[in-house]
Amino acid sequence: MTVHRPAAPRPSWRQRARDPGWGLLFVLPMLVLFVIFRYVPSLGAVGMSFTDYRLSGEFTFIGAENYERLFSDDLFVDSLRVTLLYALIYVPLTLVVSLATATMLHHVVRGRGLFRGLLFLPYVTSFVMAGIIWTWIYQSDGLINGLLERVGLGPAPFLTGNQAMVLGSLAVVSVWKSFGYSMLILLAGLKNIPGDVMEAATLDGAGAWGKFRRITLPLLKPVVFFVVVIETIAAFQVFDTIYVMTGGGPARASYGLVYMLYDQGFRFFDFGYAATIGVVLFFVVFLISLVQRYVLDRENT
Amino acid sequence: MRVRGMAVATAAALTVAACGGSDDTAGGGSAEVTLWMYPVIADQDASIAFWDQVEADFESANEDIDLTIELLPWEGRDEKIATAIAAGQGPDLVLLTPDQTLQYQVTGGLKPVDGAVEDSRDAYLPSALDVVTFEDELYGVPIYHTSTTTVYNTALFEAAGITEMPTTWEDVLAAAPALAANGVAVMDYAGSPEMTLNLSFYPLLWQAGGSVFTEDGSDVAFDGPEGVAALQFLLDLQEAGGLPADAATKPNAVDGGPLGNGTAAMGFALAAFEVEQMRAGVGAENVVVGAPLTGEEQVTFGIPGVLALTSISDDDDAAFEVASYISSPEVAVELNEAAGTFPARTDVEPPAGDEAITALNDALQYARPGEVTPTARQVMAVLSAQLQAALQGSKSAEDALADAAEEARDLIARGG
Repeated sequence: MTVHRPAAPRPSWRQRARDPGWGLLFVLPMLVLFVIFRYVPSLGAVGMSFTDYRLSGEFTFIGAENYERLFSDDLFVDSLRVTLLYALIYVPLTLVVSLATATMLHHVVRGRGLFRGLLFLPYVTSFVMAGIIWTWIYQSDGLINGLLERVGLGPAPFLTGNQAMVLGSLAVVSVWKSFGYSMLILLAGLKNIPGDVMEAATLDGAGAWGKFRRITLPLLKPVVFFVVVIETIAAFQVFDTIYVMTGGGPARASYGLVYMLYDQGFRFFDFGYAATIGVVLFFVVFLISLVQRYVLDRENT
Repeated sequence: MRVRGMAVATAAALTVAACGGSDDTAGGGSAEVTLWMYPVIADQDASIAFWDQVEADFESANEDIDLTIELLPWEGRDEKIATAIAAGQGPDLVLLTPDQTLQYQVTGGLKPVDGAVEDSRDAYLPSALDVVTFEDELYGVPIYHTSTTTVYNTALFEAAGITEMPTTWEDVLAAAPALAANGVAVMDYAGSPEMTLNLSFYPLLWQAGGSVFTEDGSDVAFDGPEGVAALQFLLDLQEAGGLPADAATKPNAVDGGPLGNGTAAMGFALAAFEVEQMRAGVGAENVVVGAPLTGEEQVTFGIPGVLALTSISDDDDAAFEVASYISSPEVAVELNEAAGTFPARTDVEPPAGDEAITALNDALQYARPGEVTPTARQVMAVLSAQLQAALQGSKSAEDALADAAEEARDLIARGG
């Protein structure tokens, strides 16, 4: 290249640094780790879903048999329904809580760091510990029921009642545990809203609620979209809450997709079938993300 | 087309590498055996001391074998064993229950261990060998046997004016209302889906004269009249206030549970360590250990703990030496004493001990080691969910068992 254009000045170090090849070099260590520990196992799982993989590492290719079995498995349909129901409770709840706390933090003048830290605390606690303590709180002779009893209300079956009650109780725990992350993302979004827009709205006589609804929310939409997508994915992957608190019960009221995957893989050692559930779970989440993107993008225009 | 997976290729490569690199040691016949042991001896310090001693004693008698005993927690043991075998990096010998043994055997994770009992086969309890014999090959060397039985909190019965402890289902049902009037459940029951039914529903099913599977294991049998009777017994008890309020979902912990804090008056299928926990909770003077409960039959649950040989072991003969040593009468006596377990062989004296140990040793003759079939776990999971539904009052005993049986038959038809 330099031979044909001898007049061209040698590119500066700065310009060369912008070359995409250099960028790739910088992310290479992470990329290698990602490929080894994420993409290769993921593709391996796809491959495994077409086999009857056994503990000993012996397997036979069985084509789409696992998929046929899955789609005619009532348990799969049930657990998909449980997962959807859980997501329907969890995603709006966590969005409302994280948006409310982010807005509050945005308006706090003093001790912002302290409050932010306090609200973020549950996100960094060990979930297994928190789950055990929440189980005590929910018990028939636990904290909440003890308080209810004082005001003359019977024990509420938080983790032992009907499906809506159990999934709702589990969703509350998950929201408590994970809203901090979404809150920080939304808070960053709030800080990016230019102050002059707000000022203009105030001058035009908009109230606090009006400003929030007509200015903050529309400007925050891309961030909200991101939060909805990651929280939906989190909802579909829910496992730890269920594992620690209900074991999928009572009577499979909280038997979600990932719990079914765990059962098939690690309790029944049917790795091929478990991988199939994982692959289908991926496509379900992928599809839902596409739909969400389509819907929220359309509202934008 | 049958394909051997990557694990085998890797193992082969490693073997070649090992042979190439260790010519000098291979000549000396040195073998390494790793054994995964669990807290059979509940006290951690005692457990470490005991197994260290076993390791040292074995190595001094067998200088050519390097034995490593690794102590692991009960929690998550299947995940660890399964991933270890699948990865080809794990124990040569592992302590398993009969149900686990079959599970790993059908998934290709184990090798037979007949070589370890060649000279001593007749010394073991026949039932302890039978339950881990599949396709005429032995897959576990029994090293101890567990026993469970009925335990009473006499103070709670006496407070309700009952001095004769209930020994049959009718007695238990009859005692329920008087205890319920004091806010006490006559019997503990743990319906959590994470609990094995071997310690909850199955003993009752067997007491009713029923079984989980048919004789040849080709079909389930729990939906027969015996199963319905067993579940109805629980539902009747519940109706009379005879079970803890959260029986459908509670775990079976004695410590911190109704038996340990004095809100349930008796437990069935309790093991020695649970008797200790109950004594600590409600006072030793109030705890009496009885015989297994009687419905139509007198039955309880008890299983051998067996050492199984994993498919990733590379020196089977060395592993057999280890298994044979740990199951020998000398080690068995000390293990039973330290762990509160019972001998799995007939040439070992039963452990001496207090009345609880004596009662549990007497209960051994009524102990059934569970029903071990390739789909036992899946069927247990299915049944467990339906039992919860019945205990929550959303299904009758007949409907719950019929629904579970339908699901279980689908499972069996599919071969798991």
